[in-house]
Amino acid sequence: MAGEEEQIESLKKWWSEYGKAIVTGVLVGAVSVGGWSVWQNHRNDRIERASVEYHEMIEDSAEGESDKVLARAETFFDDYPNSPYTSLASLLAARAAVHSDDTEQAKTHLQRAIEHSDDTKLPEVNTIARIQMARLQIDADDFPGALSTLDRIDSDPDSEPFRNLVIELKGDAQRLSGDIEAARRLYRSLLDEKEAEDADDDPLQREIDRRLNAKIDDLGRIAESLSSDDMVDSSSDSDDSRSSGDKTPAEGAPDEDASGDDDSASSVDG
Amino acid sequence: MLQFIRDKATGWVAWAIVIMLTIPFALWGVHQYYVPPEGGYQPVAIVNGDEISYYTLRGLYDNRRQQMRRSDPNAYLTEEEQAAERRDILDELIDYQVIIDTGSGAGMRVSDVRLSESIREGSGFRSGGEFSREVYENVIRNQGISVGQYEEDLRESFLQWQVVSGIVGAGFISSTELNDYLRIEGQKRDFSLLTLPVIEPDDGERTDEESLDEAAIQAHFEDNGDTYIVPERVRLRYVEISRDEIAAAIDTDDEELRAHYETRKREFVTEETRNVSHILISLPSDADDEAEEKAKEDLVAIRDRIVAGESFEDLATELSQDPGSAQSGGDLGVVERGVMDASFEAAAFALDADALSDPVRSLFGWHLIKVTAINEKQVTPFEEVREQLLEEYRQREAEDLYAENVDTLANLSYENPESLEVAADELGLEIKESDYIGRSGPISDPEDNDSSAISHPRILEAAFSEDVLEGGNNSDMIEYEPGKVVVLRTFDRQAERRQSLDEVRQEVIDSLEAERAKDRIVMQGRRILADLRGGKDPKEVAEEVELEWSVHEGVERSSFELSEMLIEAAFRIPRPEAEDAPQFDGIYDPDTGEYLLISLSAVIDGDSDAMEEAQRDTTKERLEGEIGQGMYDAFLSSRRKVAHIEIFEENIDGDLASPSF
Repeated sequence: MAGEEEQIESLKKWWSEYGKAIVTGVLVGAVSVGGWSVWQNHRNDRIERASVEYHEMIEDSAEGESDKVLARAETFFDDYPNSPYTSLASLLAARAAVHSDDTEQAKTHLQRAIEHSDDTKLPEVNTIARIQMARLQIDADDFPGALSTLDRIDSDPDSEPFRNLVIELKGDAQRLSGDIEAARRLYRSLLDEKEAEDADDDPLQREIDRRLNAKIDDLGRIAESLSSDDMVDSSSDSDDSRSSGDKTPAEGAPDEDASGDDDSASSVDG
Repeated sequence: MLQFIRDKATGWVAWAIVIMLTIPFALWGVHQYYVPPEGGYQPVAIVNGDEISYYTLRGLYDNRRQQMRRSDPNAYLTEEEQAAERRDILDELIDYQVIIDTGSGAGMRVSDVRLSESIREGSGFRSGGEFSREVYENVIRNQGISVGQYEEDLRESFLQWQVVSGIVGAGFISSTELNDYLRIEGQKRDFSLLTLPVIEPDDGERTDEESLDEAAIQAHFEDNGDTYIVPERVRLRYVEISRDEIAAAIDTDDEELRAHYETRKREFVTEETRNVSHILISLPSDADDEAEEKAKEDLVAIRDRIVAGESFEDLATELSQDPGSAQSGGDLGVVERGVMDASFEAAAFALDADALSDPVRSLFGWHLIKVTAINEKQVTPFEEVREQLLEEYRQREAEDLYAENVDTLANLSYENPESLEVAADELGLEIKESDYIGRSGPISDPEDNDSSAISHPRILEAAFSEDVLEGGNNSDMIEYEPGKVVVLRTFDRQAERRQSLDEVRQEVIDSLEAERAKDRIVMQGRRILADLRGGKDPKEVAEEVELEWSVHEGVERSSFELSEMLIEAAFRIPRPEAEDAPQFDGIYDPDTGEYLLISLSAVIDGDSDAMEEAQRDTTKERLEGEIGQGMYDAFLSSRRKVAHIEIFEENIDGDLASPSF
């Protein structure tokens, strides 16, 4: 029938017009899908190899084999400069370097963690690396450097969960640099905050509180600060009326009600 | 891997491992306890799109409770505590998911190779020492999950481990920090104390009731009003069933007990035993006749020598071929029937004491046997075990009666919620009444004998439950310890009340006097302290008050010899500026009413160089662990902020309140 032939004819015409484009399109599609999956496989493969290597690093690190960790680190960061494991492995390597008394190397690793962690969606690792960097700066007596590192973390609202760690280190830096008052204020603020939020009975938290208190104690603070005003006060009868406003003796905190505020106390540090 | 865990279960690794293991291992096996009812799959939380189902929470919770009960069968959680426990578990589950999402979000991967390696290394899937695919699949299926699901869970737990270990393992401490810590922690102080005793009031201001200013008492009462509040209280009526009491009331006649005695007679009989010695000429069982004759003759010769007067023991030592007994003169010790070679035994148990046997052939050779002592068969007479039998009989009988009574009590007290009398009458129980109790325990007379039951937290919880306290109903039956149940109701409820001054007058006066005593002594203490700081000789000061300084040297922060308060005070006094210029301070001790003057003469810092290396390393490891854990906690709370977490409070408690087993 003529209609049928006509149709075939138009199909042929259509094919001669578009055939090449279609074939090319299909080919390009096939190649790119294939290429994508090959590339994807290759990429996953690399990540998995980094994963295995990282896994070994954790185990070496846990066994205290700093040398082995550092030996792995030598090739790991060349082989996988941008893997999801690079920043975490850098933290482990930094620890190993510190354990081998190689502070300079540790700083290199921490610096890598700082630079790299931003593009692995793990900003927390960046913060951790900075905190550890500040530790090394304190260790090297670079107190202004440590404080500026810590201030930068402190001023970033996203790193709020790390605040306690940062404040204590800031206190340490101030104390070791000789600014007793600033150190006392920082430690005190941490303890006061915890008291205010009625922190739960976590053993780690208790240990930290104990440590902070010991650090504050070491700064020196007397319980009975007898300023000349106090002396007049206590030698007159008004002393009675002053303390009868307190709680009952059994409940009163004797050192606190006598000493006024902590920061007014004199201090000496060794 | 297990070896690795064992070796390294200290420091930060322990943290990481604990975190890694709790969740997957607790989830493991969840499926066998709990078949979710219709609708049991409702989520309790959704974390970044992944559901945490009610039954996961439920399974984990049940596991924990079981563990708890195993370690302490009487452990009890109030409903509030149970709810808190469920929230804790849910939090852990959310944390777990958050960390997994963190890992996969950062692009971390755990390879199939790694996964299969760990499955193959595991000891749970072995058959004949080799990994067996079949065993593996069976074990997994028995847990009610598919192999694919298991492997996915395992992969996730690896991923979580990688993240946790990386963060926790990042904790290190610089040597400056360590030395600083050791310096402060290891600090010792030398100080002297002058303890000013409580000052009794002068005769002039003798504070009997009249001389105390009425206005001052009134003011003191008003200032301390909260001290004189009596909390809400109530008394209990209760009936109690105790298995021991039921048992004690059961009596029976000797006929019954004798019948038990007869059926169990074997338990009360000690069979005859004998102390036996022997001399052995050893001979294999297949020896020829000639050898048999020879051995036998040798033994007869030995026997003749003994009969002629030589010592059995000496000859045994010299000639017996049984190395075990020859040394001890042939003594085999105490022998009972059914242990030795049959012909040996027959001969040994046929002899009189101190008589010698003829040669006897056993499997081992020829024996000459001597019985050195006969321990007659002993039968414990009925009279001696009567008490024991009676006690056992009572316990057995009481078991059923107790269960029956408990059932009756539960039913009757439930069916008649407005009274205990029906149940008490039916069971012939006494309705007891307690003294006042508050929400936290007995208020008056805690020495009261009944108070152990009455102060039990389950009883308190029941007494102050809405249904009992407000509704005036009987409580549910409470088994507050094994073998003891109680049903209770309340009466004579009294609301929280502020006492009037007249009621507590004496207490107010005591408290006021204590306060004045404190003021007096603090004033005196401060005066002396001012003198000391002004340079007055401490010796002279002490002489004036007729006291002596007590010297404490090298006191550590953790010392238990002095009160915690004193140590704290002594450790925060600033350092003395010179050796002979002590720093003075003073504190009031509210426990004793004394005032302590402290003279700090020296501060000796902890010296990390003088420490043993092992001890240094332990401290360092601990601190690094703490830093790592602190980093991890912060990391986690930061990740939780970023995560999208939805919690369905209404699903959390589900039907959890009722036990599922």
